[in-house]
Amino acid sequence: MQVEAIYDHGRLELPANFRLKHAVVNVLVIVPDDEVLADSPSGHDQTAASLARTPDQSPREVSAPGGAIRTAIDEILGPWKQQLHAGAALRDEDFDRLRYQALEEKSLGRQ
Amino acid sequence: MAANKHLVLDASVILDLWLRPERAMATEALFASAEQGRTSLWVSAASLPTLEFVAVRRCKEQGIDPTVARSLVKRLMLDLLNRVRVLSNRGYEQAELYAKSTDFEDAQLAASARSISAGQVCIVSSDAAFDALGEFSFQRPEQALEWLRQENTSEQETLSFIDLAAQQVALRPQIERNIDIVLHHGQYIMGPEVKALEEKLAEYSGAKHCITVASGTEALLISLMALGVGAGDEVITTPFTFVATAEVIVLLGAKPVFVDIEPDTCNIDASRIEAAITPKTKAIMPVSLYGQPADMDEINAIAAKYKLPVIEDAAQSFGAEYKGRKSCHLSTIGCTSFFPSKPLGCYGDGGAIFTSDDALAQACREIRVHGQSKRYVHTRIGVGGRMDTIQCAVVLAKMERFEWEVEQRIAIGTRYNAMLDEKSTKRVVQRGDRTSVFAQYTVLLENRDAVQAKLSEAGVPTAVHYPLPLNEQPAYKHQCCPDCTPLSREAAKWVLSLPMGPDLGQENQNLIVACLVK
Repeated sequence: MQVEAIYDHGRLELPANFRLKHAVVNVLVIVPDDEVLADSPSGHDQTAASLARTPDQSPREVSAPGGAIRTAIDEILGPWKQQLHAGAALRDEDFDRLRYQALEEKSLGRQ
Repeated sequence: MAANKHLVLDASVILDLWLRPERAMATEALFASAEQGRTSLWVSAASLPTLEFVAVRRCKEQGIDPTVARSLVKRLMLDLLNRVRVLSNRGYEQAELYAKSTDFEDAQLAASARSISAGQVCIVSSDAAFDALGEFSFQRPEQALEWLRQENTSEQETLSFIDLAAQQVALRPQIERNIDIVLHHGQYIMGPEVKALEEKLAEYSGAKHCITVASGTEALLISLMALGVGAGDEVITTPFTFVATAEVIVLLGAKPVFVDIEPDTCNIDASRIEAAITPKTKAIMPVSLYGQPADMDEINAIAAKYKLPVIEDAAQSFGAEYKGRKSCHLSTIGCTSFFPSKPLGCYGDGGAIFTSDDALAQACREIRVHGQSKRYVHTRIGVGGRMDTIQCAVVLAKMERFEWEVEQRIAIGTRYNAMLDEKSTKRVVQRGDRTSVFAQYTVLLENRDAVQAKLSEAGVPTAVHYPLPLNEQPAYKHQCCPDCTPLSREAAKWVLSLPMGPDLGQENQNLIVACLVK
């Protein structure tokens, strides 16, 4: 879905009544080209979370509890995140199956 | 203070984090706690291949190109390894582990957790059961989060005089790495770590040269030998110190001339030194007792007037500063010790000599190796006084945390000061123009023995540094009349050192002070 957000000194403000499930979530932001300074990194692949950081904040310093690790994972997965998590949720027995399949694949040299 | 609750994360927890985010909220919170310094997160090296295989397999199963899948998982793994510390698995115990375990992978994780020798350890797993070898508690991420929130109850039980175990846990990967490197290259004597440490220590201290030696005592002995101190010479020093300070003087046939101490700092009283100088005086050797340098400007001025060298016995004070200069770089020569309990310690004996005098440095280097100027050419009398490569490797690892430890020591010492001053408890005083690294935190108590017994009953370890001035020790009392240093005699009756170290927590400190002043 699309919502209107305000960029204010390095932070994105979503509508006041707008609530998300998680404290830190990757969102895509469309920024007007004439607002982008020449020395800014290419914008189209930047996540809102990384843009929302102040210059002295490393990813580890995002203050939301649990946010830094989730943000980092989401950034690594990028566009493949949806694909990785698509379909039915993994069950415990799926993990066991994956583990055996992975070891079998590795051991038989088919990876 | 370093976290003393340690969580060892099973592969299932990490896989949930990557592949089932809807089930990983508690794990995310555990990572947040670690970032805030409230816990330390570990994974076992045994878990890492499983993590990689399963994650890659799942990516491919979801239709992600195999090359992309491996690249994604590699980045996930590297990010993880940047956030957690890795526990080693030891080859020598695998057969025994396999024989006794019900789940070999679990047992390997549990066995690797034995390396965490301080604090409380909990294994975190999403599995319904876990073979923790009966040695560790096992909890799900939600339970582990609750466990972290609970008040620490074990700190009091594990109160030690100097908590080397907590330091070892904090530095375990670095220490293992450095020792392994030495075992691999096999240069146990004068290996590359010796030179690396000497360069690092010289840079840290500001002195031009650092020469590592076999112990703090050896550092003093070699320094005196380099200065040519010998039979009939006199060396001015304090009687209120560890015996090594005077021992090395006597070993060389010289005489220690004991000058009394300041009653508040327990360091040598610089104003009394000049009166002790005679034509036989060959050097002045102040001791930076308890981690605080003596009045080095005054001592250096007297030494300059009589053209005498000054050897700072900085066995307890490496890391301290005097008017902005580092201890060991305050006089002709500085000598420190890497005895395990020292502010910068190794896992055995070790020491170092610091000087900015090229000729003295060369002499010390030669004396350290049997007076050898080149192979089998012995141009002077020397000793076998080298510091082992493996001990240098340990100190190199400890240097990675040393600046933080010095800051902690100063903060903890300052907190002790404030708490004890509030209770009007007499203590060793620190001067405003220098810092102490509080190798010992020492109070002065007229009823010392009774208080020590009471603290012992309460589980608070203490020590007396030192119960007799050297001029009252049987082997040394003929060197000086015992009554010549009355302030040292008095201090020896009163001093009591309390638990101290960079990992001493506030709860324990409160407990110690409460027991002391009760």
